[in-house]
Amino acid sequence: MSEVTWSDVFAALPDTGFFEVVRHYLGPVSTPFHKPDLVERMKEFFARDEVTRRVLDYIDPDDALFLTFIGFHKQPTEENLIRMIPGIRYVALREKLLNLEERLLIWSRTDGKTRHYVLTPLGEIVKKSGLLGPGVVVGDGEIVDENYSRSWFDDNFLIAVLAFLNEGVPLLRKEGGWRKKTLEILADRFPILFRDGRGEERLILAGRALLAAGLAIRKDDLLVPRLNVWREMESRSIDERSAIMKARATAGRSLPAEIAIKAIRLVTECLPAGRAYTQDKLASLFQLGTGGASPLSPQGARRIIAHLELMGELFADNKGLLSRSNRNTTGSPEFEGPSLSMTAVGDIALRPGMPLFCDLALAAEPVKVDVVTTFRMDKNRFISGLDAGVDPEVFFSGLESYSGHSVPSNVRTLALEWETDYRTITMKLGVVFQAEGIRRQIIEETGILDSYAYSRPAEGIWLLDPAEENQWREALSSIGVDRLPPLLSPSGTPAVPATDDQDSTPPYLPWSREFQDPALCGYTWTKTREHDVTEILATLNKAADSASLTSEEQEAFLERLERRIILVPEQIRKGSWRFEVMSAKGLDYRGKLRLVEAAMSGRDERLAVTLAVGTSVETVLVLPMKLEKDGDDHVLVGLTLPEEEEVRYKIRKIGFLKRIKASLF
Amino acid sequence: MSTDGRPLIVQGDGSLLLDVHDDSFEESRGEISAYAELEKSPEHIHTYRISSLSLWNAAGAGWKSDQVESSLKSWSRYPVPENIITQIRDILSRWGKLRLVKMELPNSTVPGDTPTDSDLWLRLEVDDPAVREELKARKAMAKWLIPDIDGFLVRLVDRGTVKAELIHIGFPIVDLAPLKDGDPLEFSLREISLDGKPFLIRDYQANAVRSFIGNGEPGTGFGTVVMPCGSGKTVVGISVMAQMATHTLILTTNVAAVHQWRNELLDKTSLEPEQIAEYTGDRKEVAPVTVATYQILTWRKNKISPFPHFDLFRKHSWGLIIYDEVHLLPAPVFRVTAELQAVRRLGLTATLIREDGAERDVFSLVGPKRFDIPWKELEASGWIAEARCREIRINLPNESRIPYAIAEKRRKIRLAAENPRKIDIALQLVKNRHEDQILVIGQYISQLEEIAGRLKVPIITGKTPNAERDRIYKDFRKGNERVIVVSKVANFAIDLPDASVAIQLSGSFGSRQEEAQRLGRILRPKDRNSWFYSLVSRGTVEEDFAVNRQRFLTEQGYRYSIDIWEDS
Repeated sequence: MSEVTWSDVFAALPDTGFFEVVRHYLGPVSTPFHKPDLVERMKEFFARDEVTRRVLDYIDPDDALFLTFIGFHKQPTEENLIRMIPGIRYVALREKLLNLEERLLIWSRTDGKTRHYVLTPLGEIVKKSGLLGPGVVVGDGEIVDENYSRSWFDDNFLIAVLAFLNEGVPLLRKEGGWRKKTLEILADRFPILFRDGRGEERLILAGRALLAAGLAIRKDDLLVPRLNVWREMESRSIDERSAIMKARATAGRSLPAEIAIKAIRLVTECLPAGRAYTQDKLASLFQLGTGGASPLSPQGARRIIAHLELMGELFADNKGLLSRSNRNTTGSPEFEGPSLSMTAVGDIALRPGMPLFCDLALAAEPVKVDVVTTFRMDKNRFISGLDAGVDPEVFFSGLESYSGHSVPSNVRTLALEWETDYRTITMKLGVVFQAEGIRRQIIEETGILDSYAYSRPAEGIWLLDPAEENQWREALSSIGVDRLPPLLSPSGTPAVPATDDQDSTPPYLPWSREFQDPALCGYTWTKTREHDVTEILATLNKAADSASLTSEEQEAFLERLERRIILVPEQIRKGSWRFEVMSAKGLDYRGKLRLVEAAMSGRDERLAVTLAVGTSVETVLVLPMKLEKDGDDHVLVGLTLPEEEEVRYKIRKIGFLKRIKASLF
Repeated sequence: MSTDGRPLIVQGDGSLLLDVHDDSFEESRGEISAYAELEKSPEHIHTYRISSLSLWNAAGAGWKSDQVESSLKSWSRYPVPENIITQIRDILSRWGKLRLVKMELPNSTVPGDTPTDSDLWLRLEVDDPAVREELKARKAMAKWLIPDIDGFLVRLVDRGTVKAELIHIGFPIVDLAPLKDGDPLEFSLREISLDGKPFLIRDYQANAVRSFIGNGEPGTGFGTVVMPCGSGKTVVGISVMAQMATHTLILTTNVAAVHQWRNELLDKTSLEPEQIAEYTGDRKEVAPVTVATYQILTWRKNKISPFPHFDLFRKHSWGLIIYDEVHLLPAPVFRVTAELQAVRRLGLTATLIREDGAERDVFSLVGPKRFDIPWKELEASGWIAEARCREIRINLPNESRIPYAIAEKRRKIRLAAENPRKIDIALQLVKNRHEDQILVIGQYISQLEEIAGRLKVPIITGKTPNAERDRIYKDFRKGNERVIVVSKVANFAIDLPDASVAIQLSGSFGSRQEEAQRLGRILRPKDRNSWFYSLVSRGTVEEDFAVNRQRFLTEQGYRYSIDIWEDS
């Protein structure tokens, strides 16, 4: 989305609002006026160094929080903001938005009934100044003393998983639980998952990711790997693969993978190491970073946190504070040097940062998945790799490339021996074609099947290549041998052609450009500090003293100073601010009624309602909601502030009513 | 390679992987080896392991758990797994809770068995009441532990057994009871050995001696030194003897090794011949230094008879017992060693691997590993010969293939081992290596006899009389015999300094130890590289055995090349 211009901002303002704002910042407007000139003068005003410096000085942590959510989110609505900003109530939100609008930091665009907020050019200056960013949302956190967390859900794990699935070990009982024996094997081979007694949870998480990413399908009690999908995944970068897999593990019915992927990358790639945050702060961060038309729900954020902790990406200390794992395992190797080493007995060690290497998974046996994952080459495993289509030369070249050393010559020789042994036997599927009578005679005499037959084991029998079925059927048809009977299995029943239950479209999340650069990484991750504005306020107060303001103007000055819309002394001069009748006493029924109606027609105006209660007098701040008729009287229905409790006051009973404008608009 | 000075990876199972190519490898290794045991040292990554024993060893040397933790964290590339930190704290917290001390008689009384002589009793001090109660509740320990104030009384003869049993259940004992000094024996090391060569203790040998002797305080003076074959373990033993200056019993594997020990002692020390006795099947003499075989000590008339030669341990005031090739220590010697805990004990070995898992007993009864050094490190510094290992794969003859294919497993092993074509290849190798002194080693006597006959060279087997063995070894050392054929009797402790080629025809299944010890026969440094040929029948079970046999050596950094001997 392109940035909003000043022209967009001012063109959208109704005249009353426009002139109110112009008068406030530039002083009285003399007629005749030319609106485009005024817009230019406003631009010049906000382009002044002194003005922008003052605007930045006025930004407090609360401003920064709202501006961050607006500035990093795509045109959030009020509803979005309520969902994202922790603990905010509707009235307070409205009040804050109005203030930011009158300070010309944000601008709202109405889309039908919905109002969307964006930063103005002035707001963009604040954003670029470094005052906004994820640090505003999460704060500085606490310094982490110890962090044992380490992600296990990396490529090392995936390689071992593929190797394990390829063994075809039954995993699940019919009723759905883990097989006890299998669980023991998994605990032995994948100790990194089981250190704290949460191994089964982690297995479920990994299993869900594998299924969701299409890397495996469930067949009875097995998870069967889909090699074509693994190969496709292997071609991706480590970061892409990591984010996809973790997002798939985390995502669910209520949490789209696109959202999960952003949240995962926020933690794994952006969150500063060595700092711990509360769960609420992290949840807000996810809501900030995963924004869009539908920001993450608080439940979704908590779900992501739980899964990230299970994956070892987040570490929860004994106070419940969460920090990211000390070092990232999923990105580029953290240390120089090879990511694989191999010994002369075929022991292979994979260090963190080793990318997915399917051939290794298929041709070697996984021993232990720990910080370093170990494999061992042996004859049976190597041959099963050959079964799975591993090309030994490609495999060895991969080993050499990842290790930076040549494969030990004895291992190569052994593997060559194994391969030679393996290739001495070939098995092919064949169709036993048997013909009798006159048709056999025709086929024999024409020799039509000779070029398609592996062999003729007996008279009237041809062994045909099923891969060439179309060709030999056509050839047979050409000599009038058509309408062939169905192919039978060895048991005599019709043979069912092998179906490929592996659909051609990989179900995993396609990698889009949007995921490539987490927008928040480049921004500040420290909390905004509040500027000391005492000196500025003293200067402005001094200017007000010397401007001989009326008492009304003095009151307006103080109120506007409070709202941080007085930026420079020259704004303080007589006649700059237009006044309306803003209060009415008890007997002035029509006056009170007009004030209520005016307040309701304005944006988020409040009323100070003073009533007699018993022998004393009480003043309540009310947000007017509606005016109801009650016989001859009218009833003001509103919400008390800040409690937001509904109240109803008869106009006649109100002793004193004062209208309070929350904004210039 | 820069890895930020962090060459270590700590695994959740307690194994430590150390990157050999890292700049700080040397520095970190020095520290890590204090609390973790070296498991393997191939060329790129060395593996150490943290275990209860290694940590208690470290604790004995003064390491505290926070020091171990901080050391691991400072060298580790990745966060140290939390379970490892917890384990280290837990294991080290047990160190020092049980102390075995000399009993002061007035402190206690033994119900129903009043001690009258404090020499016969020790006190096991247990500070923690919970541990005391736990030990009291263990019925299996009741026969050795007699409850007493703040601890237990232990009979002196049960000292080793109690230590071994308690360590099995996770309670290490700090043995602070003094060791017996034994009868004194003053002698010195020669500067020039009798054969006229300068005799110098090498740095690593001196380190091994220092590590063993420690500060001389209680808790030191017993343990095991692990050094490669050919690196001079005997010299370490002799140096320890010289420093201890006490009567010494040396136990070794066979008579030839007994003679070697005796010759070495005479060659390198001021000991006189009459001060060194041989206690074997041939001679049973006792002197201030006595060298005996395990075989004679464990000999008995039948399976239920007592061991008559165990008196050799008990009836003489030994101040030091040296267990040569301690990895071969037979179970009965373990038992008698349990009684001898008041005597200083030195275990020597190149391969502390026991297929029966008795390394723990070596730790508790002989003593913890005090020194270890990678084979390749000594090879690089020239202290042992550079060895090339070649496996040669040979097809079975055509006429043997069908019998092999249909044979049952044991028969298969024999057929593969005795592949007649191995003889032809071995003859060819002997012919090719005409400048080398060659050992032909095998498992099956008929095979060895055949090749010895065809080569017309001497053969040593279990049946060869000791005098005949000595003569053959002597001729070989002198160069009068260029080739000798030996059975498994020459696997250990035989020093043949000039042997530079070993041809292994067959072996004991997949024994890693045997492979390493056989290579060890040709590792004495010399002016040429050593060659170790292992002949393996192609396409047979021997291939699998070979992979396992080679594991220890490849883990030490040796590389085998595999050649296929194609049919001509």
